[in-house]
This record gives sequence, C-alpha cells and structure tokens, in this order.
Amino acid sequence: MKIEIAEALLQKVLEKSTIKAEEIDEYRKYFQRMANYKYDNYEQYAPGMRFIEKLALWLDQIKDLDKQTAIDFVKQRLVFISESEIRLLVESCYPDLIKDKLMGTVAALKQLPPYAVNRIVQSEEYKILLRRSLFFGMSDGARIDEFRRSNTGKISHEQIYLTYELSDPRAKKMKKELVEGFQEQFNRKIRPEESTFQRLFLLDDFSASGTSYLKYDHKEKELKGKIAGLYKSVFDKDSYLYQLFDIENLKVYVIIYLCTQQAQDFINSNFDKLEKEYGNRPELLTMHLLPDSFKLDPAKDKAIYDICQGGEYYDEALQSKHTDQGGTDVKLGFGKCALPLILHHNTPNNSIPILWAYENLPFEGLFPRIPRHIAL
Amino acid sequence: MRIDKNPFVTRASEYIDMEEKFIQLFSADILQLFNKEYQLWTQVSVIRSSPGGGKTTLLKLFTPKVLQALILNKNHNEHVKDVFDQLKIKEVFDKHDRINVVGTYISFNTQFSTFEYLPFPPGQQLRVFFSLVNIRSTLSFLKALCAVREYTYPVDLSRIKFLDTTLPGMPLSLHSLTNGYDVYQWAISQEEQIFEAIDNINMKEVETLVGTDDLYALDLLSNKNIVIDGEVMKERVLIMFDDVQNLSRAQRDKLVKTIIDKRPLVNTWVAERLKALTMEELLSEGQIEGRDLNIIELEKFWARKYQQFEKFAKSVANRRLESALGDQQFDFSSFLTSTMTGSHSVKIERALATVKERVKETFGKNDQYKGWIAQKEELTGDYFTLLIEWRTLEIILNRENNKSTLFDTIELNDDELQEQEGNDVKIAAQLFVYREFGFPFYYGFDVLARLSSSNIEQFLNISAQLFEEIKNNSVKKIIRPQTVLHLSPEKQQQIIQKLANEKWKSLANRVPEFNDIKRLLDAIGEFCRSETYVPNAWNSPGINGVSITMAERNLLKDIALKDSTHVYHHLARCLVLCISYNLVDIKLNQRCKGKDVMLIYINRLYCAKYELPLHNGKFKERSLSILLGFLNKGFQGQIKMKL
Repeated sequence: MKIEIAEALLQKVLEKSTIKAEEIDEYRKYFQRMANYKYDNYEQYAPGMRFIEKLALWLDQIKDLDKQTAIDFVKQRLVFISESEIRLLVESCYPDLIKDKLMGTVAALKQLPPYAVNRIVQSEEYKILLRRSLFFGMSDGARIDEFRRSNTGKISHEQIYLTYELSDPRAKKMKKELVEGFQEQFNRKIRPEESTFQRLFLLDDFSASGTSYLKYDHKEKELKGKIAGLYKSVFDKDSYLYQLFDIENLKVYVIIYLCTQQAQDFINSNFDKLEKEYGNRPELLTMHLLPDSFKLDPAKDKAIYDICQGGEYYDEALQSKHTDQGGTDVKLGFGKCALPLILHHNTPNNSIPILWAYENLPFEGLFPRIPRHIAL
Repeated sequence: MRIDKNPFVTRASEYIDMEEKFIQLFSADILQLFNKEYQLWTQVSVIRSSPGGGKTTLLKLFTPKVLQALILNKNHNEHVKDVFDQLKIKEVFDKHDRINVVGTYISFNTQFSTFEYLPFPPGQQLRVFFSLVNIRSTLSFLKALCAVREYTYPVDLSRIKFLDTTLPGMPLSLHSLTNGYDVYQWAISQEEQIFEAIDNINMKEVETLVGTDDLYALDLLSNKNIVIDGEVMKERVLIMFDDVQNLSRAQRDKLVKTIIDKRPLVNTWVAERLKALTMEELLSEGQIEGRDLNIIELEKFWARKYQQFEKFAKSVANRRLESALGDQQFDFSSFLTSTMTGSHSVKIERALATVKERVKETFGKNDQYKGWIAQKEELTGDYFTLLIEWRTLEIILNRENNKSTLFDTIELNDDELQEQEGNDVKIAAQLFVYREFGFPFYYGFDVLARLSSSNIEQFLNISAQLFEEIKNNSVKKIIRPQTVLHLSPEKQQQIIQKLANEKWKSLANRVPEFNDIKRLLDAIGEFCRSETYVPNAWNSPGINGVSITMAERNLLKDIALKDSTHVYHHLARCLVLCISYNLVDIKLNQRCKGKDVMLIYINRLYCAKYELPLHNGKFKERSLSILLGFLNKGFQGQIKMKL
C-alpha cells in the first residue's frame, strides 16, 4: 500500500475515535516517524505490509471508545527492541560482562587491584582463563553468529558453539583445539591441569518468565529446563562433557541479553536446588534488565489493563497445552507477564495478546506473532 | 502531492558532500550581497550572522566541487544555469566557462579552542595555533587547486612551483622548498609534528615547536606566487575561514585582527556567528570598512532590503518544494492564504456592525465627522475590507477627538481623511480587529518573511511547521477530495504563535541567564503592547522596539560591560546575550528628535508572541534606568490597552 494511502486510512480510522481532530495529525506524524525509525522493520509483517497500514487495520478492529486507549498505549508504553538494539547488547556482552567476570577472577588470583585493567588483561593468567572458557547458545535467538563476529581476535571461534547440547565428537574437537592451539598462543606446552575448560558462558537473547531455563517440576520432583538439562549432561561422570571441564573449578554463567525482573528472580530462586544437586551454582547475568515497573500495572495502566482482562479482543485459540504451563489463560500474556514488549523478529507471548494475536484469528495483533508450537 | 520528508527541515549547508543536492537547494538571490553594496573580490570580508543566517551555504558555493557541479549541470537545469551565470558575471568562471577561483574552505571546530587548556608558555599557544592555521590553509589550498585543475592529488602537485617561499614570516624549513609536492610533504610533516607534540604528555616538545605570529599562508598562496606547468597561475585564490566562533576569544581576536591588519595577497573570508563577537564588538559597529575590508552582517543586509529578502525567501522555499516534489512546480506562497476567507462572513458582518454602531454612537453626533462617516457608509466591497475601513476611521476619529479645536462644528472634508488613512493606520486597524474580534493578523507569505527577522533559518523553521500542515491536508484530501491544501489565515496564525511559544520555551535551555533575559524581553514586549493598543493608535502600526541614546549605549559598551560592579553591568550583559541569540535586532546611530539613538527591536517571531506588528520603524525611547527596572522587576507601568 502506498504510504499516503496508508496514512489516509489511519486518518479515517482515527476520525472515528474520541481523539480530537487537531490531535490526530500529531498521532499520525508520531507513528509515521516511528514506523520509519523502527516499526516497519518488524520481521513478521507480510512482504509489502507497513506499520501505518497495520496500525490502521488494528485500530479498526477496536471499538471506537477504546481506540484512544489503544493508541495511547502504543504511543506511551510500547517498547520495540530493534535489530540494532539487540545487536548492541550482543556486541557489548564480552567487553561489559564477560571480561569483567574473568578479570575479577584473575585480579583475585594475582592479588591485583581491580582497576589495574591493563596489567590484568595483559597477564598470561587472563589470556589462559579466556582461552579456557566456552560460549554456548541456549536458543536460536542467542545470536551466536553476531557474538562470534564481534569478538573476532579476542575469542577463538573454536570456543563458541551454537547450542549447549554438545555431541561427543564436537566436545573432543574443542578440547583438541585448546591443547593444540595453546603452544602457538602461549609459546609453551600446555600443562595437564590446563587442558580442560574452567568457564562456561550460556548465552540467550530474552527471557520474560524464566520457566524455560530452570524450574522445579513438583509432579516429577526434579529440576527441568535448559540449565537443568545442561547440568545433567555436564555433571554426568560417564559423559565426555564431564572430562571436558575442570569440574572442581567450573563456573557457569547464564547471560541473557534482555531479561525481566520476574524471570531473573524466578531463575535465581531455583539455583539453590541446582547447587544442592550438583554442588555447583551458576550465576545469572543480564545485559539489560526490564524492571517490574516495565510491566503493565493494574492501577497505572488501568484502561489498557481492563481491556486486556475484559477479553473482548481475546480469543481462546491463543491458548494451548504449552501456554497452560504459565496459567489458565494468556489474557495478560504467557505467565501473566503483561509486557508491552515487541522484539523485532517476533513478539514474545509474554506480551499482552492484543499486540501479538496470530494472523487469521478474528482479532489480529498489531505485531502478529509466529507461534513456536503449532499443529502441522 | 507526495512527500515523505519535510523539505524545510534540511539545511543546504548539510549537503556539503552532495554537491548537486546543495545546488538544488541553493538560492542565487543571496548573491545580491555582492551586487552594489559589497565587492566580491575585496581583500578581506568578515561575514557575520546569527546561527542560520546562511554563512556556510554562501561559503560552500565557492568550493571546487560545487563549482564543478555547476559547470556539469548548467545546461540541464535552468536554476543551475542561473547560478552559474550570476557567478560568471562575478568572474568566478572565466570566459571559457572554467573555474576561475580556488576556493579553500577551512572550518574551525571546537578542538582548536582546547589549545587554550594546554599548559603552553604564554604566547606559545597562539603561535602553535597560527602554525596550524597556516598548514591547514596550505593543505586545503593544494587540494582545492588539484580539484579545480582536475589534477590527481597529491601526485600532480609536482607541477606546481612556488616562486618565493622566503617571504616575511615564513618558517626557515620552508625556505628551501619550491615544488608543490615538497611543500605538501612539508606541511603534512609539520601538522604531524604539532599533533604528536600536543598528544605527548611531555610538554617540552610543544615548547620547542617553532610557532609563528604571522599568517604567511595568505601570502604564500597568492596566485602571483604560483607557477603551474611553467605559467603563472591565473585563478583567483579565496581562503574561507568558517565557524570562527568556535575558536577561543584570544584565538579569534588574534586571527581576525591579523587578517585585517595584514592586507593579505589572497582574498580572505572570515565567517562567524554573532555569538563569537566580544561584548564590545556586539554593541559597536566601529570597524573601519573600506576598499580592503567588507563587514557583512547578513541580517542587517536583508533588513535594509526587505522586498529582496522576501523574494530571496520565496525562492528558497520554492527551491525546496521543487527538490522534494521532483518535476512538479509549486509556489509555496500560494499555499498560504493571504486574504480572509468567506468562512467568517457571519462573524465579520457582526464585527462590522459592532464597529459601525460604536463609531456612530461615539462620533456620529459631532457635525465635524458626519461627512467622513457618510463616506464610509457609501463604501461597498467585502465585509473584511469594510471592517478595516471602519476600524481605521475609528482610530482617526479618536485622534481627531483628542485635538482641541475652536472650529469643531465645521465638517471635515474627505481629503483630510485620506491624508490620515495611511497604510500604517490600516495595519493598526487590522491589529485592533485581531485583538477585539479574534480575526487573524499573522498570515500570508509577506508576514512569514517578516517573521523571519531576515534570518533564513528562522524562515525555514516557520515554513517547516506550515508545510507540515499542508502535508496533513494532503492526507485528508485522499479521504475527502474537497479538502483544500492551502492554509487558512487562522491556521497559519495558530501555527506561528505555537512555534513562537515553543521556541521561547526552548530558549530556557539554550540561553544563559535566560530568566533575566525573559523578564527583560517580557517587559519590553508588554510595554510595546501597552503603547500599541491605544485607541488613537498614535504610534501606528504600533511599536515593537525601544531605543536608548548613543551616549547610553557607549556607557554600556565602554564602562558597564567592563566593570562587573557597575550598576548597568547586568543590563549590558543581558542585551549582549539578546543580540547574540537573535532575540533582538539592533540599529545604531538612528537620528530621532535631535538625538542619535540605538534601536532595540524585538525579534519578529517573538512579536507574534507579544501580539505586536512586524513592521520596523516605530519605537519608544526608554532610559537605561527604566530598562534596568524592566530587567529587575518586569514591566510595571500602566497598561493602556483600552481599545
């Protein structure tokens, strides 16, 4: 659709709302600017679809009396994380978080003050510790390719792997690369105690509820989730992974680029159980924390909250056995997270569903989501 | 009409690296500057304006890439041809249409001023700074020369020979060099040496740097001193120093003084914001201009030639529309309705009846005025014109009524009325109608041009807002084909006043001591308003400025500014800031009632905020003590404003 036609369509829809005529121009201008800046780049829009057109169609589904609430919510509360913003988090991950953690260890080891950055980073201990670190993706959103490219020359490509589910041949290859590359990098033979990995960094892009990372299954009375799965395979004395790591001194870091306070608290709350079971406690690090105040608040965001709770624009087809794990319905998003958040590649289902309701349902979201679990 | 971007938001000078776009947006009317008033090829030209006056745009025109783009496109585009022809008349191109000037552009960024913070011994800072200016000028010139001659830079510099590199002030290390390429290598190594020394923690290296007190580059680069392939260079040389306001005060003073005193062998332009001037200079205009020196203040130039500024602004606006709309041609002024539309006919009719009735009731019983009233009764035409006619008559009758006469029974004749009905009274009548009945006053292209206070950026800022509304209308036209694109007078006024208020608010973050300045300007604005809206409009069309005597101005400049304990020191400082930030326009040495005065006019955009007329001319003298009272306590006089 031509942009001027899309703008005219939006104008027409807004004219039906309770918004004053003189304010409509401001809304149009604002959203046109934001569309150019970010929103047009939502990756789940059909080819040719642009934000302004989608906004007009979305608002048209909403009752005239609710239109202002809906558009104000999008204007004032919606947060759209663009591709470049996520990339920035990925690129900053090593210099801002990982380096700091490694430096802390080496500073303590060498009894150097933490501000002696150059002496720490230039030390052999730091370089060896960095080489004895592995970096695994925890999902396809971990952007391992970007992480690898942005740290070229600092971290060997052999230390980075797409997934945490490592095959034995891959694990052996990693160890082989460590041993063989050591001589070249440090001009000496590797000592036997140096031929294992001491640090494991698990990377992922986003967590809203934290349930897929680590949770305690009360029925089966065991820890489940990605972190639990990894611990199970690493601490299995019969597995090759067990030999890959210096288990005694292994430190595991879970790095999530974008994480809600709710997810952070939830994941941390299960670390005690994990430590009790394996004798090793991971540490959760977030590049950017979305505080609880970021969630829609029943009092402060009453108007939009009520619209979501009211269920007028809600379809039970959004629920599935997978969403049932987060509660009875997803009127406020999975796990009742009530997020006003859009990620450029897909809207998380923890956001309120008027934003992400699937295409072809009677009410379509402004940024329709591609479901992870769908019947074939 | 299909436009994604607002063409008034971009600035021509932003397209420094996009020559064709730059030329598209460039309006040749600015070259009027060099028609009669100033000679283009004067040795030294100091060009000053408030931010957005168009300095950088003017300078960029003379850079080789832009001039080359003009040659390339002159036969494809009438606008380009026009610019080319105007420059050719001014010998920027020779008779074979080749570039005849090596425009060397040097912009000063704020880094230069940081020299001041380096712990150099006294004097050495400026000497190192001058060295760098010489080197940058030389390197920029060599690059520009290659561009003009279409030589490969820097390889072809070996075709250039400097005849004399031992002129006074030139460093010893340059004396033995004559080949252009050698000079280029020498300049690069000198530049590196300076930067290495500055970056080095050991300041001793800087102390040993050989600086200079002279701008020798302005002699070295003279075309008479350069031979290319065995022939004396024929192109003129123009060295343009831009953004001089970014230098420290000492650097700027030394640079400008040296250039002016030196009478350099190349044409030299110095462009700076008014902000850069020292307080003394801002309040003075004492520089000696003459054959060798132009002092061009862009806003002042346009203020003297109001009609030409309007034409210039119109061409800038149309060029921008054209660049945004491609082949379609639009006249921006045609989108700004300049007459009251029929949509108000009932309201206007009612207002007309009110004024008529009031005039008849107040003055109708007086035999003197019966003829004048009868004459207005006979008038026909559109109601708004009639309303202004009657309101004009009311003003004149108020004036007449104030006169005491022995012959108040003798009817006044039509000629006497005509004598008094000047344009200024009609404008006053429009203002009064605006205030009494709410009919718009600030609309139409001529008003827009006046509101710009002769500053092209201000014009573009206002136009950008108006254009947004035109664009909104174009969207609405898709839904409702009967929607018109042009802006009604009410809409124009609403946008203008909103912008004035927003800009005013934003000043708080930009202007130092703004609370004091605000109090002073609010007081002046309030005072002007109280003097404008009086029944007999004795200062028609109204006043929008105050004056102080030149003696008082000298007191501010010579004593108060320099003495922080002086009673008028703060007032002087505030006035200087007002001038720097283009909040007021000043005129010096105006003769009024046997006195020489300095006029302080409120910037036209802010006149809209204070509901004042936009025409220059009317002002009221206020003493320094009254202005100080304005500054300290605001306007506390009696508000007349009884219409």
